[in-house]
Amino acid sequence: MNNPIKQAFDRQYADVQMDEARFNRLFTLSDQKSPKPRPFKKALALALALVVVAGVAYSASQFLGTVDWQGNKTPEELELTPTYVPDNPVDMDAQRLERLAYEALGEKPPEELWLARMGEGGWLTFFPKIRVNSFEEAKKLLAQSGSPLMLPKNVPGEYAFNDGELSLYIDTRNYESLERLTDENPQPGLTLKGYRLPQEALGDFSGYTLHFVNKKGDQLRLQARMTGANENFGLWQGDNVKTITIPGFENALLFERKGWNQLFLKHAGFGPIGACRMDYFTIAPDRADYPLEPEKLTSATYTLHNNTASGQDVSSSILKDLADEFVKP
Amino acid sequence: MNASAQAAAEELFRAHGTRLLRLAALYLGDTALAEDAVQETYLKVIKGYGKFQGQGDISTWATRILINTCKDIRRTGWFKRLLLSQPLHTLPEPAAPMTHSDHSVVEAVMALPAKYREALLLHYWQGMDARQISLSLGISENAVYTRLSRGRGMLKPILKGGYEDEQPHQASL
Repeated sequence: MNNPIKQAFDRQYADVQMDEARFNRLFTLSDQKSPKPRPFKKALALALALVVVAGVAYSASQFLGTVDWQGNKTPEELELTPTYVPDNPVDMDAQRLERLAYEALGEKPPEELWLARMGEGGWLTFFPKIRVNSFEEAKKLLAQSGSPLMLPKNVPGEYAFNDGELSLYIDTRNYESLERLTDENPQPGLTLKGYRLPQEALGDFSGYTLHFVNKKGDQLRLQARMTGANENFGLWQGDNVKTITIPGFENALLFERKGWNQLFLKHAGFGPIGACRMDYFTIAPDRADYPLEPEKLTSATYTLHNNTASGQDVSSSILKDLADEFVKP
Repeated sequence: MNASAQAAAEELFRAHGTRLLRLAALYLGDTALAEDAVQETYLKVIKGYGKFQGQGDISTWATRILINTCKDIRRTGWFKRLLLSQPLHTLPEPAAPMTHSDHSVVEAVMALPAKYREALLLHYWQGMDARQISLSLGISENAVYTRLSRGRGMLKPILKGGYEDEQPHQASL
């Protein structure tokens, strides 16, 4: 399988290997309960950095709370949130922006859709999403919108709806007006501004994420996004990937791994829709070669994922059964 | 030290140790520092295993810890001084023979803005899918797709025709 990046980097890093000596050093560490001693300067620098990081993390947690990658509050002890603190003003503001946007999304009523912007000509992030409270509600909203996105007819009875959201795209007819929105929510001390996104600027739904859980804690996730004609995931086939046929889909790739499976589907061929669908992009000067332009959406990709809470093997048949019953609501 | 956590960590690092070490070497540009990062990650995995258990893919979780550890190390003054005292190019000397094309690919990828490089390498080199990358980097899956798409776009002049996903008759998404 042709993957020039993997080939080139594997060769570049061929000498960097976990040999037996390294494994021995690693596996005896747990007896010492701490990493090997570091040079004094390095230890001092790390200690100082840790103090700074702890201070920043504490301040951030007081001000913003801790959120995970989906914007949900997470217990402090999980420590799964990134601890990276950028050291330049642009990245720092971008990170604040992302966090504030998550906060805004979490705190605002579902009918209020928010766009957050930092600086002039800097980073721009918007999260035009609607949270849904049930599978039926998602079906109803998609049906009402006339979106070409499909959903499975039903989800297995053992799974209960946990959470979900529908994403919207910015209609190209209204895209120009975005820059002229009024600043409604300046944040003192932050170079950050929030804007309410007017309903008239929005098109239909550009994607969804629906999450189901059963009593054992096993998860089932359905995700869809509208894409351009030439866009694809760039996945390559390997031992754990196989091409399967699902009627109604142009492509279907099934990944079967220990503890989880993932099914990728591509549905092509609906009429082009002019839209700006990305929920994360930049208009920074270094992106001048990638101007922010509306796209023509002509297909949809679906990701179906299931996993077990125990990490034990799980059948992929549930995903194939779901895919067989995809319909336009 | 919890014996089951230690056994799980050993199994994980036996299977993924080289992948994690190479990823750390990429982030830190120094094999010794990379080994430090892997060691810290190993200890954090053992310490956090009880809380993690059953919450998903353990190798993705370990990758996230490793990346955060590397980024923590990169923030230190010590690391910045080390970087200043070294040549800009901190890639290891390749052990295997590299073609002209390999060199072009490595140079093009390393020249990308960090966030695109990071996403592309986690996907194409480390073999992670969008969900795993989103969990590893703490960003949304849509952000991953965007970064992959833009990163690929920037590499197009170098990689044109080199990917199966640019050949319409092959099965990929």
